[in-house]
Amino acid sequence: MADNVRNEIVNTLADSNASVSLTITIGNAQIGGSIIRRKDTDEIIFKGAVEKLQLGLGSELKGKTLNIKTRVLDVNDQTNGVVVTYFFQSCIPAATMFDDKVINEGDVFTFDVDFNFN
Amino acid sequence: MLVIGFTTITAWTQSFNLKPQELSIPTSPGLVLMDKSPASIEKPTNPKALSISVLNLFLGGAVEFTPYWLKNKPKLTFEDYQRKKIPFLQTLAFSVATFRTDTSSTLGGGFRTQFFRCYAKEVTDSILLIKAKLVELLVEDELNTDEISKWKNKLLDLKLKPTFNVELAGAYLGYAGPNKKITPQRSGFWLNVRWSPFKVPFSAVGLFRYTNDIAKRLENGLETSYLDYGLNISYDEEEFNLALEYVYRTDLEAKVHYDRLALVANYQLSDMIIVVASLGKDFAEVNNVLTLIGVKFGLSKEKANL
Repeated sequence: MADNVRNEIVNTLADSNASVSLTITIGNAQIGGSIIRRKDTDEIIFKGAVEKLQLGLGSELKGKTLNIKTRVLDVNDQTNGVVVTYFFQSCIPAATMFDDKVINEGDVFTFDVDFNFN
Repeated sequence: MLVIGFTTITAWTQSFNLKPQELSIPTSPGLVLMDKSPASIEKPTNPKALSISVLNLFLGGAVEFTPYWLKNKPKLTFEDYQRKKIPFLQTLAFSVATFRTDTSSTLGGGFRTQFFRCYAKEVTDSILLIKAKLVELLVEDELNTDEISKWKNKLLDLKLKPTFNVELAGAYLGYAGPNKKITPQRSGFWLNVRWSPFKVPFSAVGLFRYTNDIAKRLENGLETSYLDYGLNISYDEEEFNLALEYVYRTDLEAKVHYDRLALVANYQLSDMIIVVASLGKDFAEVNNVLTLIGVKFGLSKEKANL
């Protein structure tokens, strides 16, 4: 079983006065989980399936970088495609989507994304 | 495993015209009517690859694709798909094959789909528990690929056995001679209804098939079409399985009926030896009893890589 890794960087603008929450949707009927850590302190904020995870006020996130590593396991025998959507409430862009495909049936694909909050 | 079969036939007076497994939905309906196997089957997973595969068909080849999955589905989660009772679009697959010679072309096309499926609550709960386990493993600092593979295989085993499902398939075969005009040759339609209770090594499959050999009608004016019904009930344990199969055939043109009944048992004596026994009645009205006892030997467990 191979682990394919893709690195991305996304610049995000958060509403300073609003609460920011994150939902990560794993599409194509695949299975996935995410590890979220603060890049400056390497502190792990959350591990697992992410749904409406509260990240704090936009002003608290300004100038910080969140590293999100999402691993997707190919369990769909109809497609090798993997697609992940990161939805940040009260941010622009609100949603960022990445798609790719595993090389072999049953492989894991990792999206390693740095979200810079400006 | 390399297998040599050794059988002793104690009574055989008529070869079987139809085996119940022929009533089952074929994997690639568009190819099965051809009586030929393509060297390879292309399975494009995006529109660009599909268009290339279709162009290649003009030179002879085979392609199989599921249109729904040619495009990503970002909002379709694992749970949503698992709970879908009518995955008609998600499982609708088309197969097309062409064979060409200097003077003729044969074209086969078909489709198959799962019209309805449902899982017992215990199965769904087990699937979701395994899913949660896999998510835990995926967010470990280091990936434990052996554990992931183990749980993934358990998940796939459960997913492949809905408690109840209905599948449909259809196929058509055409032939074009030197004048390039396509004439119909054969067509077929299959319907399978399967019931597999959870944690019980038992399953029942209702089988239905309609076939029409159009070429024969065009040759000699005799229409040939059959309506076949079958039922397969099987009991499967790790070393032993038993299957009872019944097929009822109606020749729609001659307006006659036939039936066939067979009991088949397999018992695994060891890793390399399986004993097989069959007892049944063929379609013919006389001299139609078949009994068969055999032993299958495996010579090697190793897989040869070419």
